[in-house]
Amino acid sequence: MSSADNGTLLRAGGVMHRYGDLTAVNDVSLNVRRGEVFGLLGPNGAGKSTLIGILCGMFAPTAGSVHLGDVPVTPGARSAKQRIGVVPQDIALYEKLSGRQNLRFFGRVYGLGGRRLRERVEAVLDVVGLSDRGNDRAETYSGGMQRRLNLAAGLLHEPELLILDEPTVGVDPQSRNHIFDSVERLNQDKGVTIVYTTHYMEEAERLCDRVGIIDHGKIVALDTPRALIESLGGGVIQIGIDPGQAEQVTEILAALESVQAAGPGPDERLLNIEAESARHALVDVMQAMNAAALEVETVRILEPNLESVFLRYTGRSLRD
Amino acid sequence: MRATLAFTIKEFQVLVRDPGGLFVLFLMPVMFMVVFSLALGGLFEEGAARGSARALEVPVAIGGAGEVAEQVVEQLDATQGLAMVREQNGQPLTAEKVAQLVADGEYPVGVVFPEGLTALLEDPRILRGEQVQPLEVAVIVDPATTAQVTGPLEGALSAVLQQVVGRRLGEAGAALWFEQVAVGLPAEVRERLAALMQQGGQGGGALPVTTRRQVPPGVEREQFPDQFQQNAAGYTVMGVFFIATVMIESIFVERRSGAMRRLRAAPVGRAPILISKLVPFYVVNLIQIAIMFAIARLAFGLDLGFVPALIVVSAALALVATGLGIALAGVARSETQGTGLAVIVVLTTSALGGVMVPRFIMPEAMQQIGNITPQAWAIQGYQDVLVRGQGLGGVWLEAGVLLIFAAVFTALGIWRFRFD
Ligand SMILES: Nc1ncnc2c1ncn2[C@@H]1O[C@H](COP(=O)(O)OP(=O)(O)O)[C@@H](O)[C@H]1O
Ligand SMILES: [Mg+2]
Repeated sequence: MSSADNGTLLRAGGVMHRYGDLTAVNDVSLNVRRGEVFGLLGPNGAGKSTLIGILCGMFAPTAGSVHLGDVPVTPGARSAKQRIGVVPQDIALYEKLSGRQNLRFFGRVYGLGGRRLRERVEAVLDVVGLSDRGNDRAETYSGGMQRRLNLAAGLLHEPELLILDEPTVGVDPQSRNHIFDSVERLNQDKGVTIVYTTHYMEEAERLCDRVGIIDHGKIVALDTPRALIESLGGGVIQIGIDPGQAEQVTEILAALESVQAAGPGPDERLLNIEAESARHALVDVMQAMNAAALEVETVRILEPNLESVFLRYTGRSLRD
Repeated sequence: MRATLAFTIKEFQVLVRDPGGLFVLFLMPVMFMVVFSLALGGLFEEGAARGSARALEVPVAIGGAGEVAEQVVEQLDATQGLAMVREQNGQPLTAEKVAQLVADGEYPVGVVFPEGLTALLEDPRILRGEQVQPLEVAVIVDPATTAQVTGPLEGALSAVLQQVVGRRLGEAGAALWFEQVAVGLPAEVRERLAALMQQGGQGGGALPVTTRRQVPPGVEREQFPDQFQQNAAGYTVMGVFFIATVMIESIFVERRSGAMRRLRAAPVGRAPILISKLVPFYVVNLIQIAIMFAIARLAFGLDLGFVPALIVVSAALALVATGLGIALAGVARSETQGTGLAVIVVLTTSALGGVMVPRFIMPEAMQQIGNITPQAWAIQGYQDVLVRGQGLGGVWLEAGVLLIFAAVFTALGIWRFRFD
């Protein structure tokens, strides 16, 4: 998906963020490589927006640090911020102003002026396909068009790192495809490094070179989508059990021929069972449990996709 | 610098695109000014009408003013609603006595004729068309009285003076004319005499007698605003301060907006944002003031006096208003709290500062308290120009005090300003 330059562009080390008693980001360390599309996949409330806010210097973390190349990213670090583009999750526009007025404003804020500003405004309007609506007030745009303008505003100053926070939430399919195309083109044609958060696994699978799975403020897994999915093996069955019987159940199931491995799941009530073929193994598992008079409270077969990877690590669905 | 410009342009664009709030800001003080001026104008006439039922008693000192003064007083006495009081306890009133009576509050207004009034009108220099030092008929006014009470007297007095003095001059001119005609004067002198006669006949032109309002000796203040001067200055000052509500709204809307999140990630400090929350509103205030005075001038014929002095006061006043806005925005926890606070603060200080009711009729203690409001200083500054006809020298003190208010408020606002 991208060039093979693997130098690290953005580095976060031991980042923590607390809102009062709530720990929204919990000891996150990650490296974003130059030229890649890095995904952050997690459900609502996982801490994605908070982490992103810290990555782009909107606010300082409670602990830890972020570097862009060798430069620390902090709220006061103007030169670092100048190299980063942000597309916030909420529409970050002035509704009363036209699309062009919005873009001219944000362009000036990033130091553009004169002819260059005019050229960039027209260029980004073209990228997001809004050239013909540029003089209308932003409040007259559809939700999808507002999202596209929101994206355009982050591109004006040609940042080398673009951070997008759930850019497709509440967007019609046409606008969504437009946003995907824009992101892919920016990455492939312009070499822009991208951090992309989402709670849609399809987006992470389609767009991202590497994905960090985030839940309760922690990165629970981080790899390429393929490697994450392959880590599920042929298939994973997740069963709910009585925690007191975990050891006994693990022993019985591990002994089954169709089961490759059985081990603790994301919490004590869940057990992950890996098998060559999840469907075959399920029959054996249920028989064995029945024979031993052990209760099975829930059963899930995890399909080979990121949704399953998330379930495997968190025991919860992305779409809760 | 570019960012500051960007923010300021953006702020203007937002203001222009959403003029609803500003419209109220412009309309409200205009409405106050118009409604109250018309309401007081009504009172003015009503007061005169009421006078027919109960005449206004006016002590008058004739002294050595002579026959002309006697005639004027006679005519005033014959005027409906006026009763001239010439003596007390059988003694003719003196100038000192009239001042005393007014100062003691026994009468709201008195008249003192100048010594030698009749003699002046017979001065041959006048008949030759030469300049003479005009004499003043003093209208002694109790500062606690409003224009509604003294107005009818002042109107009648100047009308009667014009008539009596004018006729005198006309007669004198005619006498001179006939006396001199036999001798045959040069055409130039004849023309001047003819003009003099005409002037006397019409009762127009510059008379060698003027009236002047004054307070009894020992009582402060000299000139009093009429209702237009009072309302134009007062409601302009009050209206300017309502910019605070618009500023607070703008600042809180900005803080709440998604755009703020993007701006926090942008390479800008808070100075450009802060400046953009001051400059456009300052300009709005100046426009607002210009509209108010333009309406007062065009609709009510208010004499604006020395305009640069008005501008100096206005420039300082607008700084106080934007300073108050940013300070209240910094202090308030929410938008609703902020705008509510602004309305209370503005109305209270406006009342204390003499917007609705002139301060000179307030009790002494209230006048003292009023001195700590910027409105009092601004109104005084405006009235120095509008009422007392002063120039730049007359307003520097008020402008200076306003600048101190502005500095304190703005410093508080900058210190407390948050954009998250
Ligand atoms: N400003 C804030 N004050 C207090 N709690 C917050 C604030 N912003 C977010 N949170 C909480 O922090 C957690 C992470 O939120 P967020 O970073 O927005 O997650 P995500 O973007 O993944 O949905 C959530 O529990 C959320 O309620
Ligand atoms: Mg979020």
